[in-house]
Amino acid sequence: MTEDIIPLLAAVNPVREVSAVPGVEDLLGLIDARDETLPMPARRLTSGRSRRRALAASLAAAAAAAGGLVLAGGSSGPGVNVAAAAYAATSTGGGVLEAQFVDRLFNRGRAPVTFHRREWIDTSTESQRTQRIFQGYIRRTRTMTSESATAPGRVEFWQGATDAPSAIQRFDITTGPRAHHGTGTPQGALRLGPTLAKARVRAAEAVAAGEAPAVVLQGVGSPLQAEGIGLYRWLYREHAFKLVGSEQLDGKQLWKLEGNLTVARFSGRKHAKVVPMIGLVVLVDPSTFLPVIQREIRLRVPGHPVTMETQLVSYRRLPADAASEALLQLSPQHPGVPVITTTAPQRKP
Amino acid sequence: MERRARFKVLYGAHAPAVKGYILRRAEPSLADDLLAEVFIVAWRRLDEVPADPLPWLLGVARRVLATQRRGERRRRALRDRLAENSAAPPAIQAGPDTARLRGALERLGESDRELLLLIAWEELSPSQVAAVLGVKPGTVRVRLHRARRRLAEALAREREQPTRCTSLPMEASP
Repeated sequence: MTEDIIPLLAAVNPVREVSAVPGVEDLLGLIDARDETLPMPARRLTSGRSRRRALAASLAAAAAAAGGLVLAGGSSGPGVNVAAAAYAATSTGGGVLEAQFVDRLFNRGRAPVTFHRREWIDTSTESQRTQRIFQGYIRRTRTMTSESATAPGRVEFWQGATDAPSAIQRFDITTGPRAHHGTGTPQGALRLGPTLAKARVRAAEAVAAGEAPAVVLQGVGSPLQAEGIGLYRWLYREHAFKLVGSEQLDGKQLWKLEGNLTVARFSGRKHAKVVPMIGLVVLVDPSTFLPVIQREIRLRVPGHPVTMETQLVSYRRLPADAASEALLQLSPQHPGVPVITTTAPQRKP
Repeated sequence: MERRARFKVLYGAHAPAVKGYILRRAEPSLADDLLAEVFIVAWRRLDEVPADPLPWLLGVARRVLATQRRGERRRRALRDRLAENSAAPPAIQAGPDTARLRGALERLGESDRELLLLIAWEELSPSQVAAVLGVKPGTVRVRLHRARRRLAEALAREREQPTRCTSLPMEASP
């Protein structure tokens, strides 16, 4: 007698419950982006097969121009997932990434402000230290260096200037008033306060002082990771990045990723209005998948002006040892400087 | 606008089932991307989607997976880089019976295996399986009958002489 094999097979089904699927709006955005990458003649083609061929041809041509891998549009395809590869390229897997950037801040009607930024990030522990050196007059100071370090549950801030306090300020943000972990923010929305949007460099101060209403990234847990490499990675994790085409820069064809930071604005304790506030454009090197240029766009201002452009200068991986670990914290970098630890007050009911 | 609304309904109703199908056959880290590929095809061929869309979507998913496997070698280098973020294919805790079943499945041909798993894991009817595979329902019934018999025989052989296999998402017994 032949035994009934189907129940046996059903019993070894390896996936009985399926995790959530990405939102359909993300997919429609991807589809729109792909259509935009088609050259005009191809866009007029009506046959699906013809359109696919045209799309493949245009992407292959772009990839050939880049001299890199054959990449597909959107988050995946017959080629390489650009956003995933970029995410992987910035993953530490233990150890620390050191990246140097030049940031240019554009202020309405004023000359751009340039500052140099260095980041050390350990993606396995979600720890990050950022050092900014301003070249320009800020608070009557010619040069100012500020540093921040974040880890789950902790923010540290230090500022180096003649009239600045030399102490390291340390804040426990997870127990503070602004570290919202409750309901109200839709998945994928960044809780970002307007203070941070206007003066990101003061984020840690703002959080601690209660100026910024909420600057905690869901799933990330610290406010200052809402920039640089951390922001880049967060957008990928939230499926908020899409490949929109390529852009030539200095004779090199770079892949262009776009994402929007949605910001939850609270009108009550539980209900949030999610609005896209900051657009992020990242140009990715097709061979290393590292971000080369990052542009922040103010979406709620007419004309969508670029408010900051960041250029990656260098990038290297440091081994997982005590010296690298120390780079993620402020105290080892400023020996002898006192640390003032503050527990933020509880949120008002 | 109507097209987008239809697409949203299609996605909302069937994306989880399609994702499940993909998850049973590919690395979890690729599932969302492959799912997107399937529905991009669905978007382009929305007017061709039949009244019972799931078998049609699984047929697309099957071809997307086949394309993905063909490109496996090209992507291997990238996967190594993604290793930190990639989970292994979904695995179930394997007891001795599971290991035998796994070995027996490995003894089958690809078409028999796919046919059985569409019935057992995706819980499709033979006529739905026919739509997925692009064959007639009668053909599916005949092939299903033979595939059941072959698997039962392979399982009996496996109980006598176990084989080691690698391609199915089940853990080998310790």
